[in-house]
Amino acid sequence: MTVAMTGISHAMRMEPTPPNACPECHRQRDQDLVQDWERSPRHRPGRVDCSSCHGSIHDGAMAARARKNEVCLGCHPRESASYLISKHGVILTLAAEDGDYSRWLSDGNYRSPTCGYCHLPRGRHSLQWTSDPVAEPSPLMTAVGAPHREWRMALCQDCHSRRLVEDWFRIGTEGLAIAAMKVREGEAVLREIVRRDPFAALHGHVIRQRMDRHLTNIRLGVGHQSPDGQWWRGQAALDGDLLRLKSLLSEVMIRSASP
Amino acid sequence: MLLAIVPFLIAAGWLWPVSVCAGQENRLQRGDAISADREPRIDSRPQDRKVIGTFKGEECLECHATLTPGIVKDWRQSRHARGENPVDCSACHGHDHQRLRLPAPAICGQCHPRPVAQMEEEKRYGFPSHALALERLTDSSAFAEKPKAEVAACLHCHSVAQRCDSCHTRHRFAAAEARRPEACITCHTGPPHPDDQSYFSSPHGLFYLREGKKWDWNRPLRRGNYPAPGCAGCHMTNGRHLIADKSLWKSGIREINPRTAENTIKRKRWSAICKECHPSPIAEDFFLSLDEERGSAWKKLYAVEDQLKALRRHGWLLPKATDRPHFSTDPWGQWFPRVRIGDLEGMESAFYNVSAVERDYFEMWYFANPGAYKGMAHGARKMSSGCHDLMIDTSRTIATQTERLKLLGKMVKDVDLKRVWMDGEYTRFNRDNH
Repeated sequence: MTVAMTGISHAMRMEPTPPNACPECHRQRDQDLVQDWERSPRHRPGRVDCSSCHGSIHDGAMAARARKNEVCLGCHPRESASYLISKHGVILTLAAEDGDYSRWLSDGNYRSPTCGYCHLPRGRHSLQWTSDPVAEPSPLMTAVGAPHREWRMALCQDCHSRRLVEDWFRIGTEGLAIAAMKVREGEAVLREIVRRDPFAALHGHVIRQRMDRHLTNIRLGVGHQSPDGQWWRGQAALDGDLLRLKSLLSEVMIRSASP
Repeated sequence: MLLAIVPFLIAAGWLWPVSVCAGQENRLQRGDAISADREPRIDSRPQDRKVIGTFKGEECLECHATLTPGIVKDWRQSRHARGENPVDCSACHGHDHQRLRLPAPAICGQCHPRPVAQMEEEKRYGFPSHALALERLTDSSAFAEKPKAEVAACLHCHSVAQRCDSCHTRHRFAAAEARRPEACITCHTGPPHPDDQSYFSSPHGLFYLREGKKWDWNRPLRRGNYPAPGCAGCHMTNGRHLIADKSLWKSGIREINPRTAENTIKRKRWSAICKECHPSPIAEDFFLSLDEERGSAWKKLYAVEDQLKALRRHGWLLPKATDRPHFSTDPWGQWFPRVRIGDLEGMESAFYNVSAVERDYFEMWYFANPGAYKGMAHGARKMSSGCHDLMIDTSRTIATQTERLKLLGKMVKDVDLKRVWMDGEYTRFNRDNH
């Protein structure tokens, strides 16, 4: 299984390592890890390579460096905002000074989960598989080895009871399904606007696109257990845009019925 | 005859369903879909029956060090784990694995009676308060009228009334952590309560962001212990868990008379806190400018409210009251449908069964307006004036929409909009599953 790079004694090479040199050696040490990275759609070779997160100096702190949230935050501002406001994010901010990042991303080794603790579970480098923690992976993803939902729920159980985790996944899934209903209802309304008045529909499309942002806030809110994203910037915001579409349709209907 | 029957019907819950009685729980208020962790009172799920027996703290640790290692490691670093008689798992959760409990404040209060009693006393002062936060939520139609999985996140914060670990996060429960402003921001954030944004952009907050990490947060929240206050520095001086006794501006969402006898007392409580660091005239001036800001906000809000009421009077709001899904928490609504407008009824206008113009007003009252208030109250004047600008912009948008609705109102009258507003995938689901 996966062996993370930590703890393995290296011939210390203090000069920067060129990015393409890493896989060559590390494939021999841990083939799974390198393969995981090569398969990932976004952090794949050529886009985000080893040095993007680990740095390029072999100083023995490469793993520790990449385990810190700061590595992720720069490229993921929306995700960070949702995480940092959650209890996990807050606790980590407050406990930042006493964090020992030489520890593995497992066994509840951190006061609160870091980005990597959940998204690179147990040090695995298959990032896309945990991008949406409550979603069941597609058959294709399962075929290439994406962790089963049960496996992902196990991460939370490093600290939380099974019952809580089950509730959390169930409620999150239901909440997202409800949000999807709002978007579909909005789309049906928009289709009718388009049919009746293509000019008014231009405004309708803007509203519809805004709904995607609220949907993302809910997804991030559920994943990070961040209440504001789930409710005020999520479900409640979707309600607002759904009724704005309905108001637009009402106006279009009255105008088209008038001589 | 009819009049004689009415009281009987009310008593039987026919005309006045119990759901509208404050504090009562019924199907609409109960969070069946919601974890016991959030809301111990409404847990309806069976306990895990697999582990049978009674256990002492040490025995719990034997299994849980492997099963849930994170919390065990966390607890070991807490004050609870120190000393000869540690406060172990069973002290808070109980011994019987079939009857484990999530510790409510009463359990914590056995060792920490003072803060728990202080929080309990909050109930005397009404909302807003931590102690009444849950009641306030479950009694609101906004919560009752929704599928419970949709509003589960609300309990995340409002459960603060029944737990201590909202701020003293488990399982370390460190006071030093709860004293820092970040401990509050998971809940005190977002459009209706941008306390984080307003504090962190205020002089106090900027000071904290610059140097706060270096301060010793193990010191009590007493005068002189910190160079600048965090949230708790002012709202919980001397570590007092009674916050509501100073609440006179009501988060900005209600218009208040700052000069009532009660509010004069509350104001004195506030100024005593400011005067710990600031000269007296500065504190007094600060409150005067806050009164002025509030006056200006309510002037803007009432001007818009008048426009909406005029639209209602002429029947120009779309959808009409009869075309809206009625609130099942409003027993009269199905017989006497009516459009609710204004800050007192406004909570109902938050959601999906209102027109765009009413929703814009709701966002002006419930999002921009608290931002304007909190910006001013925390000393973030730039934020406050930005929110006032937003309120002015929204007023203008609403004025334009009002003109459109007037024109539409004079057009064809017999267009049936019921289908648009009463039907749709989510609207149906919501009606059947709330």
